[in-house]
Amino acid sequence: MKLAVVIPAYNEEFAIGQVIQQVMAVDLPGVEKEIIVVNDGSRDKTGDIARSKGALVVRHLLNRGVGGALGTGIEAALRSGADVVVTCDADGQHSPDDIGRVIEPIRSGRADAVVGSRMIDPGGMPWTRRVANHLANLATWIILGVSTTDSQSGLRAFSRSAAKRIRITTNKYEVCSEISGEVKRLHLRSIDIPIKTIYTEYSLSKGQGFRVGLKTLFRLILSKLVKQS
Amino acid sequence: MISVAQIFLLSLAVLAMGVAVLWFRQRKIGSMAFLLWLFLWGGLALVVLFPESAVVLAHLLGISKATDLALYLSVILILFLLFRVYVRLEQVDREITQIVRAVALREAGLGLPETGHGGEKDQPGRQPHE
Repeated sequence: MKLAVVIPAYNEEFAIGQVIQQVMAVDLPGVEKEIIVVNDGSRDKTGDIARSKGALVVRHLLNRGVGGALGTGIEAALRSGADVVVTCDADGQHSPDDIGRVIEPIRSGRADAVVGSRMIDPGGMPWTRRVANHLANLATWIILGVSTTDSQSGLRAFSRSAAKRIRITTNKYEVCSEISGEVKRLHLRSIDIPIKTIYTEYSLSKGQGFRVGLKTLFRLILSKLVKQS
Repeated sequence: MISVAQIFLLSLAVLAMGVAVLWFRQRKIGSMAFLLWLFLWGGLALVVLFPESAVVLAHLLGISKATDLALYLSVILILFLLFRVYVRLEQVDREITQIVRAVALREAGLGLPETGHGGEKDQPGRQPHE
């Protein structure tokens, strides 16, 4: 079985090397791993570092945002023949051991899509983030009609057929909710699996703050009004 | 008696409607924009010719002054146009992403052959990592 781990990265030179090493070190018997880093127009050494660590680097000439990068990464994974696609943040907030846990329901055929949920067991999550994530879940439910325990999670897994059918059109953080909406629209079997979150000063500085969160909400509403091209 | 201001505004409205008809014929604007444009300038021409009609309309809507009505309508119009620009911008943004994506995949050796039909059955030859 071929697993592609898609990591969208924008100016992540401090974290990307370690993230790739950790993902490579994860022991998954019977799984051929490929790491695909989408260098989303970074101005630092993100691309060089990722390449030197053995990842396949797909380079965006312009910064498009996490949604645009995910779309490219998933397409690259499909074209290189992946059977299972995992998306993973580049800031080191996910525990690489959780990759095995999120792909398990797909390997065993129990699910087409898996959300690594930070909110089932949110120990260690700052309360501001906890509140923000609850609000994001509420907004996703109101706008897209999708109920999920963690609408903003970056760690997700998809079967090949699911990844092929999901259409990503948004460019920025609203992509997280968009994917949840797609899972519902396509009637994919989806499971939420509890994952750990590693909150460091660095990963906190990289996530969505209050202002970006509001922007994401606005863009999510807007995306419902834009014609799909 | 028609005043100079009325003549000026009327000719402006007629001119604008003429331009709209021309653009619509040349397919520079869609039918929605055309109708909106016609409606707006037609409404203005009507109000210029019969100033009392604006007062009547304002009173019908519970607005005391015709100038207030004009103000409200223009704010609504501007907001609508602003929103349209926003939506269009979003569409352009998505189109740029499609181009950037195509270039990125091709550069990584994952682009589809020119003659391909876009299916992943084509299994394009991967270049080794640089």
